[in-house]
Amino acid sequence: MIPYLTTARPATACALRPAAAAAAATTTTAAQNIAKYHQAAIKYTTLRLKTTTAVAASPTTEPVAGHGRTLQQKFYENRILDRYTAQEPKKVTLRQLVLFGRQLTEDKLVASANYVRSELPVRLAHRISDFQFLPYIAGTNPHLKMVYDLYWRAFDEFRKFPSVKTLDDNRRFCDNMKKNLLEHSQVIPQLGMGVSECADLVAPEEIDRFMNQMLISRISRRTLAEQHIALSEQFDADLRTHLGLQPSEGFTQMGSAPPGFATQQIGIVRADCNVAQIVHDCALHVCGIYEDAYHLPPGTAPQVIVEGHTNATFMCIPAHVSYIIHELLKNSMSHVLRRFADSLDTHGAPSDPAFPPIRVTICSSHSDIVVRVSDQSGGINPDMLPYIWSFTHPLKAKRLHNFHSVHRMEARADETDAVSPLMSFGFGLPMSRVYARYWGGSVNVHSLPGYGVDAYVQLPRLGNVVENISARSRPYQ
Amino acid sequence: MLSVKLAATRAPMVAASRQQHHHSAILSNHKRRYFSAKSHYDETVVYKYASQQIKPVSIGQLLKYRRMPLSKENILDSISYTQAELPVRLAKRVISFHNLPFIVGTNPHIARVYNQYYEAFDRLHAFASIKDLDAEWEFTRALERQTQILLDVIPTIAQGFLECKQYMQREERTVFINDLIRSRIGLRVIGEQHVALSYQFREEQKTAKQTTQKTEVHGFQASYGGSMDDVWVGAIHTKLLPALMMEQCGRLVQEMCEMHYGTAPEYYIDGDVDETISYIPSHFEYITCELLKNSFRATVDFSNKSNRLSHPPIQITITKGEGYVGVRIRDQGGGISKENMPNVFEYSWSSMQADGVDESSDTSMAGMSLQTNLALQHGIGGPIAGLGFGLPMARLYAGYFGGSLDIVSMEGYGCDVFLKLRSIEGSVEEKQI
Repeated sequence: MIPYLTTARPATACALRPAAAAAAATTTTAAQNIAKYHQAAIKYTTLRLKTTTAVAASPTTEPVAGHGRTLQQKFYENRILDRYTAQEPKKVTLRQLVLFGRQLTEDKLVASANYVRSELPVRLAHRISDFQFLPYIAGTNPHLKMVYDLYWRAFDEFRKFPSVKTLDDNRRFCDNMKKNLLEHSQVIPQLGMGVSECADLVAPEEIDRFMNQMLISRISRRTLAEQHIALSEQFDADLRTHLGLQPSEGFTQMGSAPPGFATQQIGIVRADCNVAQIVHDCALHVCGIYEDAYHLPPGTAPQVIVEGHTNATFMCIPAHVSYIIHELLKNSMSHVLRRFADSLDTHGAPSDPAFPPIRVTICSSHSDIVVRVSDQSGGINPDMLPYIWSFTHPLKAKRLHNFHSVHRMEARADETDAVSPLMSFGFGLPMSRVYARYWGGSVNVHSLPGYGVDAYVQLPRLGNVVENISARSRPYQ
Repeated sequence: MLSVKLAATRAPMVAASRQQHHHSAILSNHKRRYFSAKSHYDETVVYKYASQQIKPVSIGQLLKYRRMPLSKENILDSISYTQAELPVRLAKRVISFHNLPFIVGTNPHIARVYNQYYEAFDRLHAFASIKDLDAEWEFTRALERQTQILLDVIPTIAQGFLECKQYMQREERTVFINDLIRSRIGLRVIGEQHVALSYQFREEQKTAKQTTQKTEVHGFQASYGGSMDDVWVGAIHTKLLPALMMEQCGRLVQEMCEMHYGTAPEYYIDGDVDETISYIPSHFEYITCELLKNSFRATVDFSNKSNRLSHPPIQITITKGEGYVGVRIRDQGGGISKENMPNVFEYSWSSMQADGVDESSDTSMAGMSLQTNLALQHGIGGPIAGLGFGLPMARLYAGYFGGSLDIVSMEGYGCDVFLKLRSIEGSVEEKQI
């Protein structure tokens, strides 16, 4: 399998869909196989030409200045990647993140910066390697290629970034990271578009595995970056207060903090986050957006009832948990509304519930939190049921095209304001599961056809589970 | 290694059989009292039957006689199918015991079940090919008697394997028990189907002559909705109301719980309560009672442990999908811990190991199938409580006609059980089991 690295036309037959091709080879002749491949390639090339011009015209594909080398030249530079893919990612737990910030001194902040600085290229390298082992035809897809280029650039930047020694270095480093985070916010839509276009050409299992690894690694890198940025900013804010500086005043006088200065921060982690509170906030938000979208009078959206261990707390990154609950509530709400759409015109006064409520039950044990979201939405369509976890399936491919109208998506709960809830991308569920799995949890769904759906989110409670990221899927021979 | 064990078990039996050389199918009374391996059966006969192929139970065969008054030809057709299938399956069960380790085979409970199967085989295979109704009635009565005798196979086997825990690998034991239960379900489905058809035929004959009320031959059959006519196809009830079934089982289990613990939670049923399904009531009932037993017991236990003032009710929801019925049972019994979750479907594993089986309380549950009766004897545990067979067996039953059983545990709160049962209908006639 030659790693894809050129923009040559896909004229030669190569192993696309390795698993499916192998299976097909036993039943069809080689000639039929190649004919099928060529047909797919022709269809794909025309599609590609269409999208290439569209993509070239869109503002998201401006070439970065200085990127003059051709990809053939880059082939030989791939050896640099080897150095990084040979290393395993150094995984952390939530507790370690919290503990780290307990006595945050300048030295520790600098150490954190260097950890992130050296860890990001390693994790990026593993994902770049995954790209390189995609079937050639998938790698030449302009959307996937764009993500690939983005990752290569980030990888180069981070590996060349000098070691951080002072607070000023750290601030420069954080600015650099923030710029990258912003630039990479288009990754999810691009990946979505890319895999939807490749749905015919690569086996669904392979695409799903690829997407799962990409996304989980992406979450992990952003978590490390955001955590460090949060720690740095909070440290700076405390330092300013300590020195009596105004918030916007620069640190030009001081290269480093006074000796012995320490603050207590935990960044984006929350040590005793109340589950019920997150659910309440998400519910409010989701009710709001659906009332807007369907033009319902306020307070008439399906009610979200929270019950169970409403005092339960746990250690988590609230943004992640919010996303999951958000997606599940959105699914429930949209399907309940759809099911009872007729009564939307004729429902009575706000106090008369036209919709069956959505019940969220919180269960807390010593080591886990389980949140059950139960609705009476009529259940999941049995045709869709086997594919609800898939990122790409013919039934969903149409929906993934919706990504064309969205340029940026960071998969955060708070960005749903920019995207209409009526637009469905078909990946809220699999993405929620990625977030849950990242810290060793899970999302499960049981459908009761004709009645409703029970979704279960299980998350570890104590923050002592390591990140669930993996190395590249195919090591070199 | 296995073949050596086989020789060890066979040798005394074969030698003895050569001594006695007894072909008769009718056993004299005193020989039936032995619980050790019977020595007077002719081994070659059982091996001859066991070597034949089993024809899988087809739903088409089960539903063959619906929507028509039964005729003599139907009954004779049914008996020929039954007569062809049962001895082969019984023989295979007998042979399966031969492969158990010798020490396990000598356990009195296991030996007893072995003998029961051997006896059933012996009695049933000896009938000549049946061509008239009188012979068919003989066979049906014999079949009924054997079914009675084989009723407590599972509790006996369970007890036996519990005692033999250290002599068998878990996988080996699991495979053996799964095969036994699955084939037992098949045996009973075929057997009960024929017995029911036979009784139904004779009832129809009787009412053709008289216009009296139909008598209830099998007590439990009449209590699940619909009258006797047009709704039963042998043992299959084509208009079974899951809501009614859950209501009756719920009441029963609640009574048992009350009797055993002095207190019991309430339960309520919602969802599509008017939906019907075509299924074998005794199976549905068995699964339901097993699941409800667990829920009720867990709720009461957890209330004690957490000093709850009152028991949260058990919520039963019925849903109807395309060609199947879904039942969701929700309890607040504290859930199953993460460590125990992998074990809940294992045989001979039980969360009740500490409690043990309790003292008997004699209650006969009129209107419940005999199997459930047995299972629910001696209080809410029954003879199977603590022996760890309830859930795996319920799952096997659920899966037999293409359904499923899933459990979701929310540790510290409760459990949700999702039961899916596929309707036994003509649309799945080609399905082989």
